[in-house]
Amino acid sequence: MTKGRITYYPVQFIILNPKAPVTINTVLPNHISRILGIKAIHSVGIEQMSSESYLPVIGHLSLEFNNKQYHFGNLDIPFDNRPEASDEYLDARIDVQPNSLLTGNYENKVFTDSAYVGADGVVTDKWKNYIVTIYLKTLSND
Amino acid sequence: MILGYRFQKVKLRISKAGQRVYFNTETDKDFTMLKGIALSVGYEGALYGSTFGFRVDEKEIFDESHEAHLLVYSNDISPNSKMLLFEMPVPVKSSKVEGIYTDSSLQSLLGNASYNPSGGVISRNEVNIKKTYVSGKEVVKFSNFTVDDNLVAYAGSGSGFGGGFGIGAAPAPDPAAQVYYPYDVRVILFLSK
Amino acid sequence: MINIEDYVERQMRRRGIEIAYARTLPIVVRRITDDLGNVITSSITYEAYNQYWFLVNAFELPVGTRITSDTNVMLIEAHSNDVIEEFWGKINIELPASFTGSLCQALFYQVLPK
Repeated sequence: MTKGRITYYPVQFIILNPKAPVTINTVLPNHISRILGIKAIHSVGIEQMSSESYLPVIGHLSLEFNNKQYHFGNLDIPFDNRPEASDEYLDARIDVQPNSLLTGNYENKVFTDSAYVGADGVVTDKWKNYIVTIYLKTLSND
Repeated sequence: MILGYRFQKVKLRISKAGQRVYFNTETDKDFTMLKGIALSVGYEGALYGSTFGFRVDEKEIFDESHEAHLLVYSNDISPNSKMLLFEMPVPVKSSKVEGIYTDSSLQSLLGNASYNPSGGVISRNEVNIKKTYVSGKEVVKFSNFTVDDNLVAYAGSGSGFGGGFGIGAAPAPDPAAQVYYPYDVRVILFLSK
Repeated sequence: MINIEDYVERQMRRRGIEIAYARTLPIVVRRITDDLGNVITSSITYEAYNQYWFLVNAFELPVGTRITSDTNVMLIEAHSNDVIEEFWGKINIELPASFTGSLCQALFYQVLPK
């Protein structure tokens, strides 16, 4: 049996402008030795702009682990406030170097027209900030 | 005679928006594995943006910024399909179990203007240490603070099934669903031998 | 200003990647309009799979230029000499609507790993 225990490590980021990409740059804690699963979901915010309870893709996320040595790939982030929304984690088997960087970027794909952001890049009142969370199911050895 | 499983519960009462409620309890000594956890709540809308942190024997399982709606089952989903089952059960034996539930925790971060202009990663300190007041005291740490009696959890240990698993009339899953305070959140610990 | 060759050399060494070949690579992005002035194209796409492209002249590109790839998305919001961004995979360079010239050159440092 593998040593350690499973913990769930969230990385939250906020989107403040529909057209500006968000850069993710954070150090994973030392006690995380392995990543077993990854799930990235919309947390809050989009519901203030849309009356839908499901939008299949609100943005694209690219993630790299181990100081940019491993590109996990690109994920679609849905907005899903339905009760039957999936809880599944994507399978991942990433041995994490201690204190390594988790890097990536996120590109918003919704509410990008001129009603939400002017040509000068300034957002209008209609735009609401929103938060996306990446959950890492990790093996921790603390 | 003790059978194989037990659904131990903790009830939390959320009295007002943005409230932070802490509880601690102890697991049944006859059961040695914590296999899963679930929350149940009356108003579905209450869960979006609320967070739930969880520790067993002082070791973190969920960070305080873990979203509560990921741990909840509703009327059209059977408890065990939406319950979070741990792939590696957490060993317990009369273990101290602690949790902290924060209502509308993430919404309070949306208006913060101190980030980088295009947005970016929210520091864990901002998520975990918020200006939430309980009994006039600022809550800063997971492990050390006090709360009023009437705000705290009732650390009961009745069988979950005995109390009935129904969660009352489920509102339509409208994203902007109305939340009425107070509401109760029940934490169910799935224990096995 | 950062010396691009040194920077890339160090980056690759730190990641344990050996460089097989590297060179500077100028990319010209044209803005083509029809007779009426409508923009037909103002972007260009390259396939840079299994290679790294480092953008060297971010400060010379118009503000609002958007460069996307599998691993990175970049929007030039301000001019700075000290930004070196890295791209991998399908790279798309898109000039902003406010750009009215006919062409613009992006300079990359292309790295092929062993």
